[in-house]
Amino acid sequence: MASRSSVAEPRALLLPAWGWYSVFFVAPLLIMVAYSFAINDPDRFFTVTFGFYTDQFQRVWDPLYLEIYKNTFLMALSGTFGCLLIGYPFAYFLATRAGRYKTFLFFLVIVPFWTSLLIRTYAWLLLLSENGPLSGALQSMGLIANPLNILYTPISVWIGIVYDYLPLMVFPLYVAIERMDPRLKEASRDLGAGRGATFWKVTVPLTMPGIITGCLLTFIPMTGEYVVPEILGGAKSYLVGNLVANEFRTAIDWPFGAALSMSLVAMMLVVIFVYLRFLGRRSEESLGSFL
Amino acid sequence: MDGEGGRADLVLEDVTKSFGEVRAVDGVSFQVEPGQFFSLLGPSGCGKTTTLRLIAGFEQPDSGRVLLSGMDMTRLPPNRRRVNTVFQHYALFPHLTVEDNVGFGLKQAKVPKSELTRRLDETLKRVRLEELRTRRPRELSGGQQQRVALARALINEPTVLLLDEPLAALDLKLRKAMQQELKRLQERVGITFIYVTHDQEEALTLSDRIAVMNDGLILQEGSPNEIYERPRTRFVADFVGQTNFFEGIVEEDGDRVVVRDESGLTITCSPVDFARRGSTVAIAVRPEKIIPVNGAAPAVNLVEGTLTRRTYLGDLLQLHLLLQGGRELTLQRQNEPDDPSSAWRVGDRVQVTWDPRSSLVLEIDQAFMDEEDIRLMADSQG
Amino acid sequence: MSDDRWIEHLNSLEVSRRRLLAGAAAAGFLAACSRELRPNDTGTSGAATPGATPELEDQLSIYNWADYVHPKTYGQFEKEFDIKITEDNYPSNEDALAKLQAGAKGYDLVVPTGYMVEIMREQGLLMELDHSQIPNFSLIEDRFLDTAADPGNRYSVPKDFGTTGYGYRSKFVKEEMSSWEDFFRLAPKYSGRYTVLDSSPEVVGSALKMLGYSYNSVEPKEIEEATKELLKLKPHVRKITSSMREIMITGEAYVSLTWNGEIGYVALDAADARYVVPSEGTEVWTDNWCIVAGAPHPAAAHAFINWHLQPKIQAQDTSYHYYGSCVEGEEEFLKPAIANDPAVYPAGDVLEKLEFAAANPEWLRLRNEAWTKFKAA
Repeated sequence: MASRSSVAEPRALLLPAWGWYSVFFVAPLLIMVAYSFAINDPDRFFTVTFGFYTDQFQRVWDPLYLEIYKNTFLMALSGTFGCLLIGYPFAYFLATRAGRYKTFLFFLVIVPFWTSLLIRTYAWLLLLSENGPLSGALQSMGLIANPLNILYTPISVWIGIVYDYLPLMVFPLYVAIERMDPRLKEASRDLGAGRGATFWKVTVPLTMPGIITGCLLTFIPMTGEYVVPEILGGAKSYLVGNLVANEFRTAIDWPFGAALSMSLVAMMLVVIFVYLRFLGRRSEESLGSFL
Repeated sequence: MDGEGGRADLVLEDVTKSFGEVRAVDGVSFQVEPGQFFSLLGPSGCGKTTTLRLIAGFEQPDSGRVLLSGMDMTRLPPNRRRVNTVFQHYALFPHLTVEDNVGFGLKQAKVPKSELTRRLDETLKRVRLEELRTRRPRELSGGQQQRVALARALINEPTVLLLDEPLAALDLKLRKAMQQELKRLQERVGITFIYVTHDQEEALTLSDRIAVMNDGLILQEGSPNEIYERPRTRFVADFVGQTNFFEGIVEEDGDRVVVRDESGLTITCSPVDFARRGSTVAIAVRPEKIIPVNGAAPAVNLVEGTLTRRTYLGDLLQLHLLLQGGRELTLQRQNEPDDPSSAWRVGDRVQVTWDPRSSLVLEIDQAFMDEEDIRLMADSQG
Repeated sequence: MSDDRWIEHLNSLEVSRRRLLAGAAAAGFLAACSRELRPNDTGTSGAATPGATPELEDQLSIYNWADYVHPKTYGQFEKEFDIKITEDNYPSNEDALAKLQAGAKGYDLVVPTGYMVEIMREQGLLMELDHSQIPNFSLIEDRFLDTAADPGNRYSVPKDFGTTGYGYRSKFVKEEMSSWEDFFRLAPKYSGRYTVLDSSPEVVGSALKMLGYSYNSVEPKEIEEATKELLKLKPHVRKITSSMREIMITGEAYVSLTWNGEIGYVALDAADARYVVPSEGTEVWTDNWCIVAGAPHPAAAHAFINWHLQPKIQAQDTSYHYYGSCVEGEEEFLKPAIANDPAVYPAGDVLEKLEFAAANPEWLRLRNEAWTKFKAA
């Protein structure tokens, strides 16, 4: 009896979480799955017939939409890379050199979260516009001859998402770098490796769990990004997220929107699976410990 | 090339290093001859590890020079010094296999593949790790990890090998075994070892020379025998081995030094030049030098006391006597039935003595005296 | 999530048919204050008196495009009838539809565009009007009545009308533009300086009209042709947005496919902005007061519709949002500059070529499919 209650109790602790996830995560997902296999009634407005129709998924295969998936992946990939490029040195500094400024710098990373992402993205709209301060500064420094023409282009979307997701890259990297025994770097130097070789042969492999976690944490939501391309993007920076939003909000074609979403989810699962397979058990462990 | 260093492999010249207000290393100088096993011995925080890090290049001295084979390498980065380190807790690369750990240095040096393979095989064989070459560090026992750390450093054939408490993480038995292995290895490869430890026994067992450090200073440098038999300061005598201390005023100097302590005990010592009549000195007597009086009473250093405790150490017996005036005296005897002490019972009045040559007259150790003074002051107030 | 609420809020800022939300909020606040000062005197004033007056509720909830009435308008009604108005905004017809479909409760009035009236009434989202309570209905010009979207106006009363054309900054565009053909032809020259509305019927319709087809074509071949034209246009489009005001004013965009009132706003800050009612003809639309099915305050809603049809109130709103009024006799309350502005009140010969949107499921499906392709390209 005693043993039974001691097993049952921890399970009971999970009940609220299970309840929450089934109601607010699993159920909506299943509804979307049901919609993705439905068809629109051709004779009535916004009326769908549920069933097991694959019509919507056939529509997804149009090269036009595949192109958007491709662009979305490229954007997420380059955005992730940008986050890594900016985030790694910063996390490294934070973990090893910041000293008593560490708390302050962490504070600066967290402060943006106090403001809505939307407000911050609108701020970028002002910053990046042709008549904005960045354009003005670059022109007065003589770095560019004409007004900065990057707003409403993929470049401004890239800037926006890198800005947006940088903290999600910095935190896992910080944890990984912090956790690394600094004497391993000394050991490497001691064995004849210079700073560069030490970084690539020791620091990078040992912080790989943080790199993988950071990349997944940024890449996955980037593929579903909607707000930033909506505000900073132009006619040519349409991503899957915007396409889905268009189907739900403007076209009111829920079945097709659901099929587009489910396709993205499926692709993400493949990406994660390949990632874990490719990088082996270690990354799985690290993901498990972080997520 | 034959400059200040002479034929020394490693020379430290007046090296000083501070961290903030703390002088971790304070004007340290020493020379190490090729092939020597040189130990830096001291309690934790004494500056021995910092000294090692200054040699390895992980720290830069505030002043002074570090010379290797007569060449100044004070400002060289660690990767350009012909020294290698065996780290405390080994610092093995967890993401690399045993052979990749061991081969790391040679790969950095861009050694040709065939030579790399040859030296790798040779080294792994030497430390008996051939079977484990594809394992990762966390799959190894403590002793195996220790051997990987050694192999990883030795394979590079450094001029000087630095070892930072390499055996500290091992259990006693393994540590003893590894001590022997380490010593044999060092003799075979002939590489100069700089060995940092807080374990005086280990230092005495392994070293050709020992430098005892405290508070960033080298208090005494010498052979194990010199350090043990002729400690110059109270700190060294206390840190290396067990010691009975006496303190008193010199009554006679010259070819026989006699010191009288507070309780009126007179101690006869072998002559030392710094003991002047009327000056205060400390005297150390090693426990194993004290012998029971058996038969005729000796002319000097006859001490009587009450046996308060017998401590059984297996091969040895430790006997604690309470002397007149409340002073304690510890002696150590072989655990043999023939020994006179074997008949002693707690509470017995017994007599002991020692040779005047075993009364070690010590220089006053400033730091130590200061501490003592503070304690005395505190006592008198309490 | 708070972000979603922000999205809604900012979207409504974005796609307002007139100025920014702040004005309306302030007006609401003032109205609330004045109501405190002035005690109840139920009922009857304005141009006409309803027949059998049912008892008026003391509240009215309006679901509207942002800033689509003059800031004073609600306050005047509140004062006169002692009815408290609350307003919520939506950024597009489709958003309003989605929310009502999802069962949003508590709204009395909604302001869908003609084609959306048809969709909403088909979906059973609207309440049939009691015309006896809207005597001022007779003031509405016949041409805005009895459209295909709502035969007999059983569900809707036109609020105002506008056209879908395009505006351009003559400071940057040297050519005199007058047709859809101009709009499409000059795109490569002013590449990257175009914007189009974020709405499928308008954009697909523009290409259909340029090709000489009906704005309401449901011929798949014609839609396909129009789609081709749109895909050619796409590389030159900087932004697909219904909030083109700022970037037109700053000069980041030169040419915008949009509604006439938007360019009216741009012209306040950029005097060289011109609105074109394309010579091939285009869409004319009305936005309409409709009462939501199950509205909690139907009497107040009817009273408001009737009250709002007064020419004076109509003129007040038109001078604010630059969309033409559908009632007769409002010109006398308007400044001549507005009353004679062909962008607000197109001339007779132009008017004849205008078409109302006539939605049906097929019509919408074809447009949305074309639209999704246009966006995706």
